[in-house]
Amino acid sequence: MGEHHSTLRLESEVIDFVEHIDHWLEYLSELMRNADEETMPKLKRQIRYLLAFRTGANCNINHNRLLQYYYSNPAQKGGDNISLSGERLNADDDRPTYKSKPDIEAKIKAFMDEFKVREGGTSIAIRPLAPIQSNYKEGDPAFKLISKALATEDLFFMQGPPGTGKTTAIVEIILQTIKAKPGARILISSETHVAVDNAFDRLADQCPPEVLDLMLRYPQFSITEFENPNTPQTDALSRADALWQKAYSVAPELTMNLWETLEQSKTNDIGKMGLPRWQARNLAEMHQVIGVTCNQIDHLVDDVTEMFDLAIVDECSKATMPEWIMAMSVAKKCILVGDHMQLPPTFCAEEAEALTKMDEHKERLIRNGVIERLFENLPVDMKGTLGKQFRMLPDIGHFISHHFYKGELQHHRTTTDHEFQDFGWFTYNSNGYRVPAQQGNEKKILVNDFEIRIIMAQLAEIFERLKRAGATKKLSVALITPYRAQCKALRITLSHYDFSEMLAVEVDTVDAFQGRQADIVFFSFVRNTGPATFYADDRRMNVAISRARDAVYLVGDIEYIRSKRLPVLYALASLPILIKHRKEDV
Amino acid sequence: MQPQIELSFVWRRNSIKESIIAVTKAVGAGFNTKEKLTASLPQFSIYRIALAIDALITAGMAENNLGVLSIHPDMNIVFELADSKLVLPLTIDEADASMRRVIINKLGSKNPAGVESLLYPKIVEA
Repeated sequence: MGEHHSTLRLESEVIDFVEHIDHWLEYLSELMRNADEETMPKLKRQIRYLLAFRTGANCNINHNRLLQYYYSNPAQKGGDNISLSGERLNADDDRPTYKSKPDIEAKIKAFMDEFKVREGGTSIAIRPLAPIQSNYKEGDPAFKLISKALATEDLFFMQGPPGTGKTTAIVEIILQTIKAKPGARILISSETHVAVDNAFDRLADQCPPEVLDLMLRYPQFSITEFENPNTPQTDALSRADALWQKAYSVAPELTMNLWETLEQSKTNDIGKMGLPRWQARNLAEMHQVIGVTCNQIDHLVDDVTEMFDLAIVDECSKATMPEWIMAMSVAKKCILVGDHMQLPPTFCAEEAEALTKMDEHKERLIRNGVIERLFENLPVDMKGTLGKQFRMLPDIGHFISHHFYKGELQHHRTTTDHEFQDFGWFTYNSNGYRVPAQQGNEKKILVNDFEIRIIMAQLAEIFERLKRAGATKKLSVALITPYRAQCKALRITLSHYDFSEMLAVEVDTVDAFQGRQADIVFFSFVRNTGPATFYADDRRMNVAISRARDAVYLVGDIEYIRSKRLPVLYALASLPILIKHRKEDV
Repeated sequence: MQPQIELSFVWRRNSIKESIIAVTKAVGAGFNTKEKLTASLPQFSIYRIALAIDALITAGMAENNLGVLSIHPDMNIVFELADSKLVLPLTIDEADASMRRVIINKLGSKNPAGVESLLYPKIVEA
């Protein structure tokens, strides 16, 4: 990937993927200056993988060609020449022409035919005949999209708006791949442990027992509740433990000797028994479907490791470019699953500081990520959107579809089994109650006690009504807010109540809630004065609202929100007011 | 003051050193056929066991006789060298390949080339 392709000029910036890799290298090097011992290996790893990708030392060179081309150029009708500069894809162009004897020609032809048959067998493009999971029917648009993803050879990007069944699609892709290519090695990766855990748990639930035996979650699960009770047995520590016990039953003395020699019993800094890297790599080779976060892929890969046939990166829009590049680098085919209309990667305070030291346009390119641009530019046979959402009731679903997905989402659910199905406001007249109260350069305290009191009062009301109705099923409630301080205050206040008999209440920031859902969502806006920078990002509002299955209660000063004159906020402000509180009411 | 060097040995194939150790110990313990070896080492992938056997045979440290493996006694010297440091009254220049060969020979090795094909020397001034 040396010389650059013809590059687009947008806002007088030269946009080129190799240059963008260099921006990342510059940023990561800057981060290394002040990195602590824990972060340093992660940064070094990311730099190593980026450099390897930059020089083409990754598993499939077509990934480099595709990213280099489609980062800068939109797909053209009739196909694109994605060869790298100075590269000739057809070796025949360089071969001298000579006339050989017929018998030699026949031998060459026979060899080539045999080669094609053999190499054809290593292709990872699959054409499934019928769905495996009962969730899909043959003509389903979702199954058609999955079939399209399976039919690609190198790269596919599947956009999955909220509640459209990304995890189910991932499971179908894996089951179909294993069915068509029984020996295929598959990597399930994401930037968070929870996303990997959920995909793995769902796969464990849907796959036949013999596939469950071939699954490995490295290093261990972060979730504690599983759809399938057998899922936890796939974690690497349990797998390793079972193998050592098996070894001990055959060769006790040898096993004890190796246990000591290979420092198997070594504990880590916090006294917890870990898994040595050699053991992790051996385990990864013994299993066919591996679940691991992007940043830990390197733990399973060394100079003799067999590469993967397929890497699936879930929540790819939340991952930084080096993270999903790590997964892509170790596989022949890569399927990116995510939604660039939801939140992009978050940068912590140190990372944001390092970014601000860079050129403004480089900072912007890094913050914006590559995924959206890629999705726009890739040819239609390499991308697609899951179009039917199964989570939200139509009112909420229509709002999300209209404002974030050009009205193209279809809605599956129409009813629910409880009375809480609103989408509107618990607003108030702030009457001089300002949040934040601080002005100018003062440190702002973004806690809105008034909104907390409204939420607690409504939770108590919902609790009572459910109890009166004799509800047998708990409802899940998400208290979502953009600000950490409000989150903390909500948690503290909530700890003084006990709604657990009827409600399972979770409190988190918008960013942390991505990927989860709840029956009822309360969104606390907090601010009722000053700039609305945080809400200005439509993607944040998309995530906040689309977490809800049945009801969304917007808690904030509706006049303030309306005054911002931002399209999505303005549309929200036109939703019905369910209760207008006065300060003295609560 | 007399010059001193610290000579240590590091595994060349770091990625399979555990497999080499395991295979050597397993064969030494009598698990010397394909079936016995794989049954006694289920915690290792077949692939890495094969790579380890390949490295050992290439180094002349293992022999395959009609499907039965045997390990050269020099592997004990390999393990000792990989575990220890030698402080020697030499300069770095003096500790060249021929001197290293002499040292390994003097330690009792019958297959010093094999030792050096599994381990590489690391020399620093003491």
